[in-house]
Amino acid sequence: MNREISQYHIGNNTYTIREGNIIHIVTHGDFPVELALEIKNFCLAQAGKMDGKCSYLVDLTNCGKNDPAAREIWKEISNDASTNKVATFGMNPVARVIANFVIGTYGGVNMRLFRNEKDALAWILEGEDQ
Amino acid sequence: MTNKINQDRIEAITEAIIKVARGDFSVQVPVTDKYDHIDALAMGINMMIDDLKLKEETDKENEQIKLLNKELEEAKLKAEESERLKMAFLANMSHEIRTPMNGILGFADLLKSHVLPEEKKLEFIGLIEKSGNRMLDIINDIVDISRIESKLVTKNISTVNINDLLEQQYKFFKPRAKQKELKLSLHKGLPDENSVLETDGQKLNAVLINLVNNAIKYTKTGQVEFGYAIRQNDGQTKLEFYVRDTGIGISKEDQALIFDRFTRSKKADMDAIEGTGLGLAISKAYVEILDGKIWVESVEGEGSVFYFDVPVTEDSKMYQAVRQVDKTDVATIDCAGKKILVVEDDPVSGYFLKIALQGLSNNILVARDGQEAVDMFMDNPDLCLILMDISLPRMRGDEAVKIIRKTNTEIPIIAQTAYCMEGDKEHLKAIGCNDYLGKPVKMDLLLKTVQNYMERGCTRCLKYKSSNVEK
Repeated sequence: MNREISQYHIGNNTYTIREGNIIHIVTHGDFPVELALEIKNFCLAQAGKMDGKCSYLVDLTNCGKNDPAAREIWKEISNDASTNKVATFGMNPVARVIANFVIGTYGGVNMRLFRNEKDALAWILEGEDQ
Repeated sequence: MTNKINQDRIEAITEAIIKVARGDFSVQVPVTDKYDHIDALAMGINMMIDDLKLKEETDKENEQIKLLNKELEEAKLKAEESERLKMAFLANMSHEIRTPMNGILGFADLLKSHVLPEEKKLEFIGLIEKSGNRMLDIINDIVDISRIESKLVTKNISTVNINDLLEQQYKFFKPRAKQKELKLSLHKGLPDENSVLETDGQKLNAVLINLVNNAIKYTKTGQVEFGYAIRQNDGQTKLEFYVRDTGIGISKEDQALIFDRFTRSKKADMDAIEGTGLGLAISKAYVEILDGKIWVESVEGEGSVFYFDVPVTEDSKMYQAVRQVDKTDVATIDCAGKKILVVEDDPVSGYFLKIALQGLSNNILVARDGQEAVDMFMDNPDLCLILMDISLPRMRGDEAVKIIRKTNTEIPIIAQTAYCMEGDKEHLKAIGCNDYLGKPVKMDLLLKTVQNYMERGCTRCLKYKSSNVEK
């Protein structure tokens, strides 16, 4: 389940395409708008290749500051028709703050913050068997 | 040690908050790689600062957009108004062109198709010629306004004798005024030898022709007067021209519009008076090219006075001549702000006195009878001199002098009257007049006499001086 298919690097971030239409993003450092745009283009292109909707599993443990414009781009990704769920997680307080800023900008129900990867993944997969 | 580091980190956050509170959104708090609660706090603050900065920028942009929208709205209204005026202009122009064309083609047709006596033929040819000239005027107006709008009109400076120019216009317009039974008069503000100015004579001529022409056109009864005077305003010497009529007048609302292209007064339109509505726009443009300004004072139903001024440059002969006169005659005292009351029932004489005295004071009141003179004297405690006519309706001038003298023995009162019989002068002096000028009043004597009394000091000046001495 959720076997890795391929892996990419954009900036300091790692993107792993996993089974079950999941893009696993491990963030590292700040998220300026230019990087966010690049990521958006990459993610939506990958999602376009998938059969069905795509979910994002975003590890914010080492995430840096997200510009307001970058947060808007997260909102666009979450809002895209190809997107199923966006599950963010991070144990440290910084990750929680960032996630709340991003989720606060978006305000949609398909983006949530979890304490760890396990819970996040479980939410993504929730209802898949039904 | 850790406590000290944490204390410094908190201190950095506090400093950042203080800067933000003062409106500095460029500040950011350092975030360490510990990603602990203090870093979370720092990160949160950094992101909040970013949000505030963005909000401030957005607010500014919104303000600019609002401003831009307002400007767009105004431009839109202006464009609509301009479009409306152009349409009205086209309709008017169409009418203006068709009317003389009607005359030209109609009478040409008559000449062609009828056997007419020589006398009739000449009459018809005359009418064709008149209509042709009217057409030419319209075409000239259109060409002029087009050249002005294309900025092809420039200033052509030459030496112009203003009196000669006005004299020519007087001769030109006299027959037309006579035909309408209007009194046409000309007031020359300077002697011929001093009325020489370096300016664009053609444009000056065009403006005056247009204004006098309008004055005659819009006046059914009464008079048209034109002329000029030298003015000193804000250290600048200017030649101020005026054209006064007793015509239909212009409403306050129209006064603000008549200098715009394609605009005519509503009254002119209602009365179906011919005209393209371009004349005043051309005049305004010409006056502005001459570095002057044009304006109007008018009372609907009573008449209008159009003014325009042109600068008198310091190197001009006129300026030198005026300076010379100033040095010898006028400039010895500063009378500009002193108030003079002219009492005169004849509007023409009253106007002449007002214009003549404007070189001495810019604060001249006019009363039309003795009672009004007394009232104005009472209402104006800063009055410096009274020029009193004697034969007046309602209350005679000598009665008015007696009343004024009961309350004030200081203010100079100069009688100006046609009573020139032996003993009249003594009588007037006896009742309290300081001096006497016989009608017709000669301008140089008038100026010298008035200046002489103003130089001695009026009531206000004497009081002012004495209060200063006491101090």
